[in-house]
Amino acid sequence: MTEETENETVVLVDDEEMVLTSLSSFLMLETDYNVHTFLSPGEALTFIEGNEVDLVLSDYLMPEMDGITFLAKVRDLKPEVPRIILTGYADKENAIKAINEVGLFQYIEKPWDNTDLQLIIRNGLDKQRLMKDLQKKISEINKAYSDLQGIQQDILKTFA
Amino acid sequence: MDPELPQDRPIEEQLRLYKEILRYSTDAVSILDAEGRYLENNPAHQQLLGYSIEELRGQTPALHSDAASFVRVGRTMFERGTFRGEVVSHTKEGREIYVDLSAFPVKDEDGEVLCYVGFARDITARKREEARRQAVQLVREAVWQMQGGEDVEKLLLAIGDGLDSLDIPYQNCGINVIDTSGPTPVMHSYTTTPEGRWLSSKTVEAVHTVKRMQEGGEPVYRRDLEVDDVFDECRYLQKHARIRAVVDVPFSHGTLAVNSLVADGFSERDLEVFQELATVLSEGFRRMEDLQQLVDAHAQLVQAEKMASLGNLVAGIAHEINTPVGAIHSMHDTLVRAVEKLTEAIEQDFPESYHEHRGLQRALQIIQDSNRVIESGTTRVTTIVKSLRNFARLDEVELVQVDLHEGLEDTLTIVNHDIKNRIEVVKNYGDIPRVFCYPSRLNQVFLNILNNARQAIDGKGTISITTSQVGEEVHVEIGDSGTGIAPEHLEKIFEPTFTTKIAGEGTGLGLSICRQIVEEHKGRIEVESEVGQGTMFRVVIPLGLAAEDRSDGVS
Repeated sequence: MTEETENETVVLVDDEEMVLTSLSSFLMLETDYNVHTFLSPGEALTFIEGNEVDLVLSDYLMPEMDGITFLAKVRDLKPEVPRIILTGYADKENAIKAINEVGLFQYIEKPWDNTDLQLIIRNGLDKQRLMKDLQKKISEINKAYSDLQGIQQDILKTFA
Repeated sequence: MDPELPQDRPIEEQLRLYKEILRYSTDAVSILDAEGRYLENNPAHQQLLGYSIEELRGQTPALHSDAASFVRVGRTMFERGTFRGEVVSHTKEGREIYVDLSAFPVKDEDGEVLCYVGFARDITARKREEARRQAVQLVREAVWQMQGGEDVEKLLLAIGDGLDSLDIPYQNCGINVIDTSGPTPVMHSYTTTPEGRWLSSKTVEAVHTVKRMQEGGEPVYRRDLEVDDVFDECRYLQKHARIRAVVDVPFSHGTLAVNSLVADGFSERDLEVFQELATVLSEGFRRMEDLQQLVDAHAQLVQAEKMASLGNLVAGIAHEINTPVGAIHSMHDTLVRAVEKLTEAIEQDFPESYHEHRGLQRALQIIQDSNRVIESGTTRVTTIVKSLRNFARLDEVELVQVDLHEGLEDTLTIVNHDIKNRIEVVKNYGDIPRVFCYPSRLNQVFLNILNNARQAIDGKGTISITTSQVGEEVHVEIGDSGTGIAPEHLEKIFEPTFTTKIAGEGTGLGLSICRQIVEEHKGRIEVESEVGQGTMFRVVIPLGLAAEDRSDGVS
């Protein structure tokens, strides 16, 4: 469990500066995450492509591209990264649909409760870490298995 | 046998033959001398005017002709030699008749006038028919131009003119219109009496008398009121003149009444005219009613549209406010947490300053106060936004099962601004099940009633909201301690366009739309009111709505 001490990277995207600030200040106060904020989904995608990212949270209604489209692109780049959408009441229906279509981890309704938000992000990151761990264990097993096979070959060769 | 022409016969015989022809002619034929005096006429002529030839000889047609017609015929004969056209004449008894006359001179070989010959045919019946048609047409035009009650005056004048043009000996005429839209029928009577205005008849008997006659469908002709006053109307009718005979002819919305000073003053022909006019009135009044319905329907549509766009507006505003409120709400929470951490840190690392530095103490106190205000402020804004979007609930166009108390609470939040300081809201929420309804539509009903209630309360007062389950129904009663509604208004408040509010304050559509919405829920809306005590509206929604709706869908 060496990763636990490593700070997780969270990406926040919203076209409203005040929302970004309120989200990031809260996370910076209460957590040790590396928080990266973007007013533009496009710029966020560039960052996500080139960096290690553990969770992405995006607003739904944005002029450049809507949150669902943005998160679908994130999925294409990094399918393992949990994605969360922040929605207004009127977009709830669309957001719920998107959970199934785009494969979202959660949706958060505005106005949100900070404690809930923290919990949801924490859960997302835990899931992400578990998945990562699982992936690592699987590759370790795979490696052990192929090592084992190599040894088996050697043994067979030896006794043949 | 060879045909024998008259000229081949002896003169005497020829003359006798022509006389025979004249005798049997159905056209009236007359022969006048060169000075225009009667020489001879045939039996048809005698029948037409009623004069024998002995009475006419030596007289000119001025004896029986209408003066204007006589002058016209004479002038035309002088100018053109012949006349062909319609003239007015009088029979020996003085009856006016219309005649189609053809007159020409008979001249000798030298061109001297020997005599004048006239052929005449009675066209009175045709003329009367034409006049009748014209009179009816005038009335029809008047009735079609009618937009509302105030135009009835013009209509009555047209009827009067028509009756005049047909020489019907009436004293006055009137229309009784029965309005059955309310719980008790009301009659509007309009007559050509000297008062000449809509007279709303207050006597219940008169309304019922007219209603009975209208329902009978047949004209009621009381030939002589002095012996035939079954409805005891004599006194009323004789207030203006000594009315002896009255005809009431029913039409779609009441009766057409015509009276005469003469007992048995109307002929069968007159009665036919009245009936024809009644048919025209039926057409006109039905059309006016259709038109009114159309106007009402349009007004309701416009109002519904307004409500819908208001809903859109409310939802839009709620959405717009939501984002900044969300940010403030979250930021504030963060601020509180940060201040807590800050305070802890100061207390821990600088305990002396924390406990003794008065400026620091004061600053921390101010931060705490600020946070409290910000918190209660945002909580309130959040509640209002939530109420607004719940109230609009535009996404719910289907029947959904909801708690009516939530709808009432959301609606109260919306009208709160005008209630909070002067009206006490007493809630007696009963134990009611969730009901299937269109929530935003029902909220509109609550909003309307609550608005009426607060407007009815002048100064301080109480609004009480009581909910209960009664059998298979949920009752929502909203009462106020306001001014109350006058009994004569009470039966009209659900009619579209009825309003007692000043222009701009109410459209008069509110309650009619409320009733429509409640009826969409297969429920009903009731009202109880007492002037000076207050008003109570009861919205009744049946519980079985969803089940009924589904069974409708299957069948």
